[in-house]
Amino acid sequence: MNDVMKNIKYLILFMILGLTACDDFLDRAPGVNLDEDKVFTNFLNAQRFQADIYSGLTSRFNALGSYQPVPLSSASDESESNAGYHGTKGFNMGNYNGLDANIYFYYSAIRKANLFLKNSERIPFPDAKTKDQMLGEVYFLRAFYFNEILKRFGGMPIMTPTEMFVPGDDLMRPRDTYRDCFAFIMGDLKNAIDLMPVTLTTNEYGRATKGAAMALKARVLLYAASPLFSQKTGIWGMGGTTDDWMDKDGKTWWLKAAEAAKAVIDLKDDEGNPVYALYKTTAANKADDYEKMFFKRRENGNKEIIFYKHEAPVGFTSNEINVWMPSGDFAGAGAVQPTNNFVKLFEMANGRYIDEAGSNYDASKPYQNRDPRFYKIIIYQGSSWQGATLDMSTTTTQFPAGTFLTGYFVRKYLPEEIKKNTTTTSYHNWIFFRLAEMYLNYAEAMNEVEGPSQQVRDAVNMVRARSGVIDIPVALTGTKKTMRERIQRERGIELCFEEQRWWDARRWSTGEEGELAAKWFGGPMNRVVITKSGSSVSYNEEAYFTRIYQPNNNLYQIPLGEMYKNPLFVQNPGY
Amino acid sequence: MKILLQTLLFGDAITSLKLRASLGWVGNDQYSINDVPQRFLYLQEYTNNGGYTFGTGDNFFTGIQQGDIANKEVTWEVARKQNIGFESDFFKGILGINFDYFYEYRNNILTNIDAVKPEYVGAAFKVANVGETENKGFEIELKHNLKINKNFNYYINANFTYNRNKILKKADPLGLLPYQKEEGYPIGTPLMWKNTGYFGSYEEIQNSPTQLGNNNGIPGDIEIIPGDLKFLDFNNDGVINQADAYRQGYGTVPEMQYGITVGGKWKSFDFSVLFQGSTHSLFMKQWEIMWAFSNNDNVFTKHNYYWAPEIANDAQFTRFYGKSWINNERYYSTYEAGSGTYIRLKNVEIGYTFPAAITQKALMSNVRIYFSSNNTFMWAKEKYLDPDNRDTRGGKMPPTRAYNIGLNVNF
Repeated sequence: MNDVMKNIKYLILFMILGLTACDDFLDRAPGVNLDEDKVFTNFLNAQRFQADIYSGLTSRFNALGSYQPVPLSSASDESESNAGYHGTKGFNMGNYNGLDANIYFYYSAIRKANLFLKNSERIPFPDAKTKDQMLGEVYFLRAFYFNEILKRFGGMPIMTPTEMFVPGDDLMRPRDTYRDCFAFIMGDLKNAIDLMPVTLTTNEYGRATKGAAMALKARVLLYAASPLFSQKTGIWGMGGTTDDWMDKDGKTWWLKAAEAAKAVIDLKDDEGNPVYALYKTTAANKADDYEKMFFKRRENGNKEIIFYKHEAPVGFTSNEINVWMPSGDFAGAGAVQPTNNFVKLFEMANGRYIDEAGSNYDASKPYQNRDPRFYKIIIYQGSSWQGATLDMSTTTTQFPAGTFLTGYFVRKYLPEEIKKNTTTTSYHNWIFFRLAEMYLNYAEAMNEVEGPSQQVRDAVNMVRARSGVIDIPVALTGTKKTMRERIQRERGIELCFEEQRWWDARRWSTGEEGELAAKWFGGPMNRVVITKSGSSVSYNEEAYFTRIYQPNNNLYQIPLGEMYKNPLFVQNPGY
Repeated sequence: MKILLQTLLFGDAITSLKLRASLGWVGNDQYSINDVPQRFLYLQEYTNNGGYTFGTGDNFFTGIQQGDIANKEVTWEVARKQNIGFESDFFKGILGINFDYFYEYRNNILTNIDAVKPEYVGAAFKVANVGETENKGFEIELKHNLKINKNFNYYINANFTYNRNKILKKADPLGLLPYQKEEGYPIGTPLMWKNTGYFGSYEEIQNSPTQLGNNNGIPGDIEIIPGDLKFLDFNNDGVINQADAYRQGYGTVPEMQYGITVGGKWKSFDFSVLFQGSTHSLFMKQWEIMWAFSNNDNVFTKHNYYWAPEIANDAQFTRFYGKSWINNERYYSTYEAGSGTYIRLKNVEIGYTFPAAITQKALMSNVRIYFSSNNTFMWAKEKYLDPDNRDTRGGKMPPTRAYNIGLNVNF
């Protein structure tokens, strides 16, 4: 009996020893040798981690849908998607639950940025300059991603390096106020502007720069100054048009937005040369420069782009091209089709709107004598494309029945040399910020500050002149209101399909009935029906679909699933 | 625990009687996603993943990403299993009854908690010990075996199993309507609308709650016309919407399974018949079997019987709408739920063994000729798909029916 007890004692002792002898190598998942220490105490690893924070940047040519994904412009009045499965259909019918919400997507990029910032002090950077640049980029990216959320929903929870939630934590947070979110973004941008360089070496192209952070700052200020956000309080707005709470400098947000845009326009490199310039060549048709600007990078002499999605050239089979390419003989999906609502926005070559006195608009020849950019943006009846003359009439032989809806395709963003059955590729820039926007931001904000002054006029005309467009008629823009409308139209044309109008119309509205966004994005959408009889062509506008846009759609709906999870969340008004 | 008991009351009638009971705890730490076992749930992993393109050469710079967020508190899940039953044999094999009642309680079940994690957390979590389920039921087996005389004997074996499980706790979002949560329902109970038939007339549409069109019941819906589906206004608010979907029906695993084998011998003939089946299960049908012309223009016979006023009572499909889908048939509703109830004549066999006197002259010890058939017949509620097959769209090969004629010769 004694022997047995002795043996049991040894056995127990042995078992305890066995338990304490756990070695770290047993804890390793096979084939995985990275952990937080190894990532952030090794510069090369930290650099890779930082590079991945950029992966939240996406080209938005195919923003919505899973098959033939279409751009957000098909949710606005710029274009239509011609098939029911296309991703903007829900928006067109007034359904905002979860569409283009991307909350998880942007917050996961923000979490990466926070994890980097949290560990930044132990990263062995080779030198201070590298450290500044990398940190600056991370601040910029965090601001960029958070602004994507802010402009969609209004105030949402601010996530900092102390909010790195793990299983078991209390995860519920209320929505933060618009002011707090705005101030947080401004803080990040201040850091980014202080830390980042103005110019990059060629092997750094694609990275953010000081100018990118300044451009984002200009846009964030412009949005905050706009009626939708300046007038509301709490989660939904700035609660005032003057800065009496952040820098407390008493300037209006419009003035600060104008100054921020001007700072980008005036930005100089170390040699004192302007960093950015509108893309201009000696081409006889100045509108050619507008067209080509989207296919050229800085190394090709295009200094207009401030920040863009950097990616390898694309070819015909890429969704970026194929979804937009005309169907039929041209073998694209033809899924992005400008509406007649949009086509009617193009001025005449004389600077008048088609419905203004003296426009000389001829409804039987609707595509004659229009804004020079029209011919670079729209593929229309009789235009020349890839060696063919387009026939989009009811008796066309170029397209099978039912493959086009509105009577137009988009030419902007389509390199003409990329044809079916070729392997030709081209740069295809999805631009987040370009200089033309900064001119228009400046003009818009400054017009609100001081009315249609010469500097407002110059800024708009600068953008128009690059494409060979006549100056805006002085006689028609004598007041702040008429100039405002002119600038709004100008943004609609110059920045079309660049995911600007969808947000612009919202920020210019305040949620009342009959305002811009509801007027533009709701109601009947029109197409043109083209009939040929002999050599004569006739054009008839007809409504093909009535879109739903409620005034409350100016802010997206917080997805119902998120509301179910979090009892602290407040839904946006009207949902 | 085993007890052998011979009662005095029944005397010789009881050949044997065993009572049995068991109680045990079983741990489990296996968790798989798409059949890939997830190990090291407590470890924060980092992987070479993601990245971005930089520079004029457009070189992709591979990134490093944090993996799903580790759960440092993770432990195994525990199942408590209880069993009580008996085995019995009466009259020396003429009647046998076996019965078992079982109850299983599992807690700390490794559960995906993403459904309760707000998206602003910005990361996927590894599983946590959240779930709790119970499963109870019984099995009964009857055996009857009788030898009438030297020429004739037969046997009947029948079995029946019933089990019902219930989710006691799961990562359900807080704000979800109680009848939409998984908690309180058997595992896999579908969340769906109830379809109460087809609309027969415009009057009926006008006098019914506002129905789902093709846009989740929000403005922009298509107009509902006769021949479209009619859904139940579960919460009686006059509008069919998301709140009218509720958990109903059964999961994909049958609650009841049954089988019976009858066999015997008469002189030189032998026979056996096996029936089996199950009930209380559902499977959701979509695509080709439901939607005419879907997936490259597939059509089933049923699509000929689309709704029309003349055949409104025999319609097997909504109104006809051509190739592009425009009506309200694609909602997850009882319209798409296929019943798993069936009985199958699984096997039939008849044999004849030649008299030994004859065969032994030919130096053969035993010669038997037989005819058999597998999957001979099936009675099922679902007409087009085999419920056993877990086929949801009509593309899988059903079990094949086979007829065999054979000869067994032993030397």
